[in-house]
Amino acid sequence: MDCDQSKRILRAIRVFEDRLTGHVTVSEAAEAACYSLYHFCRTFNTVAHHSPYDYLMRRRLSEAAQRLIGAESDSRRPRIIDIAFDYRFNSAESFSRAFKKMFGVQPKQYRNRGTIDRRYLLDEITAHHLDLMNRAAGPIPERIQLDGMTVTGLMRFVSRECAGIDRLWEDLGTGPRTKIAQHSSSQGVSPYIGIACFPREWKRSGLYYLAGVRRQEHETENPALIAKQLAAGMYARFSFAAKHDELQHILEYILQTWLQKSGYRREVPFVLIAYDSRPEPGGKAVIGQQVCVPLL
Amino acid sequence: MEAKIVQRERMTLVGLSFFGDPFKEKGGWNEENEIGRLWSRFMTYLGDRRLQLSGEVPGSSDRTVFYEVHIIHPETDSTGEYEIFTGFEARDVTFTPPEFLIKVLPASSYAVFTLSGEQITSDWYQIIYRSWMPGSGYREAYRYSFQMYDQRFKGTKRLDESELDLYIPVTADANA
Repeated sequence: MDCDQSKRILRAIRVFEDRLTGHVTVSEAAEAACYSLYHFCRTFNTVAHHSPYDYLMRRRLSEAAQRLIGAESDSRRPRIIDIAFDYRFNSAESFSRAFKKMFGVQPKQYRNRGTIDRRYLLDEITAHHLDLMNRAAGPIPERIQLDGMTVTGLMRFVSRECAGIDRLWEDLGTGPRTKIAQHSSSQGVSPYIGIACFPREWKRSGLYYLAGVRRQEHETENPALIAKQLAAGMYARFSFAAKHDELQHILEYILQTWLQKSGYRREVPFVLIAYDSRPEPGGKAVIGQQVCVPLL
Repeated sequence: MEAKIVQRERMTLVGLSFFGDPFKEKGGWNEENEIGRLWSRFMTYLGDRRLQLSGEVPGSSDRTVFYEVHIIHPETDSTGEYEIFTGFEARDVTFTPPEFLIKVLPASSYAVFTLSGEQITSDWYQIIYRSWMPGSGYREAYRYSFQMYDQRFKGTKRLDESELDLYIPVTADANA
């Protein structure tokens, strides 16, 4: 993917994003990218890993889903039919059908549940996402079998933007209470493991992140640390060279784009990140990461 | 790009088709898109002895000529979806196996462009419709076009050694 291509596709994405509640055609987005419709569809799919119309529909449904939950009180919440019309659906039925296809539940059930699960949304694809994909080893992951493992370390809630991860790595192993012994890599997986966990029914927008080290058995003598045991299983492994604060975009690509097209179940409870080397404080260094998604 | 204007009689093609966004990737382990999958499906049948079409299949003596037809749908501008048909020309379709479709293209004048190497994956559509057609004295006659693959096409992994002909149905532009 070249720079010029990315810029043109971002222009087209801008057209879609500016008109999520307005009338827009794929043809108009193609014009903004200065491509013919045929070449635009080919390039958009290559760069963004969605077809243009699919991107538009998923973005509209994602915004509609967030409006369904919204911050308004019950009495001030918009009606479902009004949200449907706002996002250019012709009827409650067509909205409901498309909504169920994307989120697995009807709009009313989604509203009653009251939580937004970001794994099921599609957030706006930005220059950050495209830049990251450019640096990935490829959009096609390897399929691997991992043995069960125990990861011991520090866990904290982090925001959706994944701020604070580098601080966790700094805290781990610097104080006597959190110091942890090293372990050599095995099975091609380095000892430095991050685990991004997605709590079920969690109302806050963010995730739990564990910064830890792979251990053979649970480390019981250090009460400041927690241990997480992962069962053996099949994973899709993606290779990235990225900074800590890019984890948000990595997860968004894998969960919101790759996983939803793959046919595998999307409600993965966690994503495992094996770092090529110990993450440094500051989080500004680019580090090799093998991001592994369990295949359910 | 240079164009030759040729006349072709009505063409009867036998093959397979897909409707949708042809570049949509399935994701997962194989990033092949719908066009690639259509050709794979089609090629599977070529060695099949059940595919016995009576009459000659025109083309060069060592290689059948294949066609990939792109047909615009009324909603194509809105959704980016259209029909792709891949097949070959047959004189007699009486015994066409049920696995296949028959596509008839009308007799028409065509502007023929030869694409080679990088041109094959360039935005030729934009160049032809935006740069060549205005001022050519011609306009689009039908909302389809096709690519003709013969022995000059060496495969997707050898595009730099390949050539194919692109046919755009045209009619004289009365306003030119």
